[in-house]
Amino acid sequence: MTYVLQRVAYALLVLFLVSIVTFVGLHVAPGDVTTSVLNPTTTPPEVIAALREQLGLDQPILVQYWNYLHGVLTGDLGLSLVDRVPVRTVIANSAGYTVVLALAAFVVTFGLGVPLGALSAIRKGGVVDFVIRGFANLLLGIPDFVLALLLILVVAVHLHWLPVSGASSWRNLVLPAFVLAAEPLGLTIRVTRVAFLENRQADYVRTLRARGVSATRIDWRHILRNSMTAVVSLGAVQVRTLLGYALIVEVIFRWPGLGYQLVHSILQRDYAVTQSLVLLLAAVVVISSTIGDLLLAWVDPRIRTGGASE
Amino acid sequence: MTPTTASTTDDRGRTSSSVLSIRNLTIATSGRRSTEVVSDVDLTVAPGEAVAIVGESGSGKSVTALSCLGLLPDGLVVADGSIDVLGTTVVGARESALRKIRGRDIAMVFQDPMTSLDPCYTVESQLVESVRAHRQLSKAEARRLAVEMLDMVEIPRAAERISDYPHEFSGGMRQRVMIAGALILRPRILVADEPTTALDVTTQASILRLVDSLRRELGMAVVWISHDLGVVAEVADRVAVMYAGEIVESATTSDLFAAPTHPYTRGLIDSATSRPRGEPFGYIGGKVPAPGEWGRGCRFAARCARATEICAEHPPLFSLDPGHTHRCVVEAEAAG
Amino acid sequence: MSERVADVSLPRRATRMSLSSRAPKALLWLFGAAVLLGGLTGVVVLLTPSLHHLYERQDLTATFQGPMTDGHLLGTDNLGRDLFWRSLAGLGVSLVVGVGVAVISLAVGLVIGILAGFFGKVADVTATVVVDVTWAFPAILLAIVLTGARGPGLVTVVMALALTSWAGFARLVRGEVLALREREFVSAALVLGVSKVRVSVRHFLPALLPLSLVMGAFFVSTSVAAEAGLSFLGLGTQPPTPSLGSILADGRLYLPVSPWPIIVAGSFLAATVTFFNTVGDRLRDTWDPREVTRP
Repeated sequence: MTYVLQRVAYALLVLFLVSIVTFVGLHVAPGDVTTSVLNPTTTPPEVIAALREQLGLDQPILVQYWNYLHGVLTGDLGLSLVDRVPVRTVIANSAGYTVVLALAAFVVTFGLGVPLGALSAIRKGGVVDFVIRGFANLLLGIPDFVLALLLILVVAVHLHWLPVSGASSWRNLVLPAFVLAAEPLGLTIRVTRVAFLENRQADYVRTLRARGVSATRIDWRHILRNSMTAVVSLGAVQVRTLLGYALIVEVIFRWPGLGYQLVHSILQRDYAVTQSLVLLLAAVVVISSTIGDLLLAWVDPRIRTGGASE
Repeated sequence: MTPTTASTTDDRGRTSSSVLSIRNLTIATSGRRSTEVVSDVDLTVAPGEAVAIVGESGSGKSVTALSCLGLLPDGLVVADGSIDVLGTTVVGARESALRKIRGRDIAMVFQDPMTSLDPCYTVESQLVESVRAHRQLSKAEARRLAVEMLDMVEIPRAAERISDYPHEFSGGMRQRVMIAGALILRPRILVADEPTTALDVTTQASILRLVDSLRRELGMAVVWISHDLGVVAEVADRVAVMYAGEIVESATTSDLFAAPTHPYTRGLIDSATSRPRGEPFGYIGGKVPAPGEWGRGCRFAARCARATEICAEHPPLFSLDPGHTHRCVVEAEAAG
Repeated sequence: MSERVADVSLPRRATRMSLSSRAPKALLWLFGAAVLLGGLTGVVVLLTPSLHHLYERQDLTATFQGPMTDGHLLGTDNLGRDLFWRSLAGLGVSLVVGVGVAVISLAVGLVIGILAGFFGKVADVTATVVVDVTWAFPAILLAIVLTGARGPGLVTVVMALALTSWAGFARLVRGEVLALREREFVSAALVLGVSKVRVSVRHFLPALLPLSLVMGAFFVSTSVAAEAGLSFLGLGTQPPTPSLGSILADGRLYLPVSPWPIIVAGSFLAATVTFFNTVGDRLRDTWDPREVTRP
């Protein structure tokens, strides 16, 4: 229990610092928010000043940060200056899409990756192993967006099996989810296989065999669970990579999630939206790596008594 | 189950049927260039008997022990000979047949208790699993057996500790858990492969005594595997000394210490019994030759002070007294 | 604590497993030579104005040509520009970005990692927090934000990628340093009054070289892919500078007309990424540093 509290407290500290970095980082950036909505050459200075005052931009940066933090904690994220709607609405409208996409990719990654990796290890040296390893290497070698383009070319444009882009039905989800899952899937297969093979040599496996426990049970109950530490710690790292790629994949497939909104807001210089989205995505990374640590402690009981994580 | 008719003579001169019988066992590396690691080992274990196999690392004693359960590591195969466990032929048996005897008829305890238990599951889960691998019992019934067994290996507050994870036990306690797991189905044979080597000295003694008293209580045979003749002297009825893959001397423990015949055995006894500081061990200089470097003659000759030209030929097993055999030509000729 | 951590971690040896490790060595060499030679040629072409016509000259009468037509080895794009030379120049840009990011990330990661592992508790806690905060921003996220703020360009891309990728490496370095500082030669040097900085330079850096080279290879491969991705979004290298990412972006617009721009630039990119991944895997297999994962 102390371990859980320690991890959560540390995560809160990191989140706090992340919010400062995001805030300061976007405020030292050249170009005032006002210049993106009002043309500075044609608008009278009083109008610009009025807008700055309305947005609180004339106050000292500490006060601005306090207002911002207060807003974040109370759920008031300000107004999108470009779309003229609350940022909260922008996020609410797009978060669902990203969550669905990420979940689908996660299911593909671990739902396929762990069994394939284990199977590859159990059939080490055979045809099945060779094919699975080849598949994993292929997934690791092709950058996401190139894979996306190739799939669009073959599956959507030539074969007309699935739509090219958009988000009108579940059929739109298939290609982006697979593309997003590609690299983590390749890695998960590899890591599961290596961990599985290493665990097969472990002393406890010999003990179990010496007690007459069946090979199938040893493989899928003992070795697999012991291999999961490697897979789970990889999974926590993968959330970060996955989020990064999700930005690109969403743009390619015009999937209206957070990443699509983020790129849109940057190109439109809609700082209020950008700031909130960056903070949100960074928070997801921090929270997921914390959950990863806690999961690891659950899979491997030795960590629980070990105090803070390394 | 009919015990085999193979018979042996124990230290009191009685003849009894055996629970474990190893005949001409030869183990070699698999593959085209195969190298022998164990040659022509014969060993018979009677019910309830405590037999020790003693040798330095690399002598083939652990491999011999593993082969009794059909657990040879990848890359090693039984090239010749047979192993019989309570009527089941182990060599060449299918995995499913082996699975049935492992843990039920013959069990094994390993050297390192720290790594020999699965860290991810509680002791309860692992003990229950061992029971249910052989017997159709409910989890509650299996758990009751497990608590009973933990009590038997003298783990305090067994009913509470059973739900702990392996890492929550000390080294000695973990080895007790290992023993409990091995004995939970009351096998007729326990193979104990250096069970105390990884433990500190005081714990070693208590584990040895524990296994020995359980042997009497449960009437099982124990095969001790050890590099330490001193340890074995306290618990074994009979000792087989292995050197470079073969048994060089075999006798009852009292005979072996009273009249060690093979020069290697003498060396071992010399180094086991305390000698004044600074005095050399005499017989055992040099090191055990690796498999593949054994040569054609006596495998100990290169390190033996008494070696002569007749040692260039491979010595057969000479019989000294009933139940006392050795592989030294020089000694055999001296005895006439 | 440290014992328990050691207890938990996996055995160190990763089995050789990449499919390409079965392929004959000569093939890997040939493949690597092609990628590196292509990249270098690309850099030369980029830096020599008199050669710019190779990839810049438009020919609106010969757009969307297939490979092996009319003096164009791999065909032409929507403006009739030569795809082979454009991709080669783009590969040059990618390699410059990749190597730049790798060098900066390695340098920063080594400094922060050694600081954390060897220069006291305060340095350790500070560095760990800085690493964890940095870690919160995925490379592409930061790159997108930074390009939004600074405007797109080669320097921005390198900065953005390097700013985030050092963090994971610094963690590995810290772990290695924690192990190294327990070695006798380190305590001996410290007892003799050698300064910590000197010990770091003389003893730690050479010991960390294998890990650095492995990670360097992975940094190049991930950065090449990331640069192309950013350019694809219009946030990376800007026209007229050619880039594999922008060739792919243009190619996507005209996908129904001709698949060749995507196939050609995509293959260049995939080949480069695969090559550096393989080099990293190979080096890791040889030296066996600790991690199975990539940055």
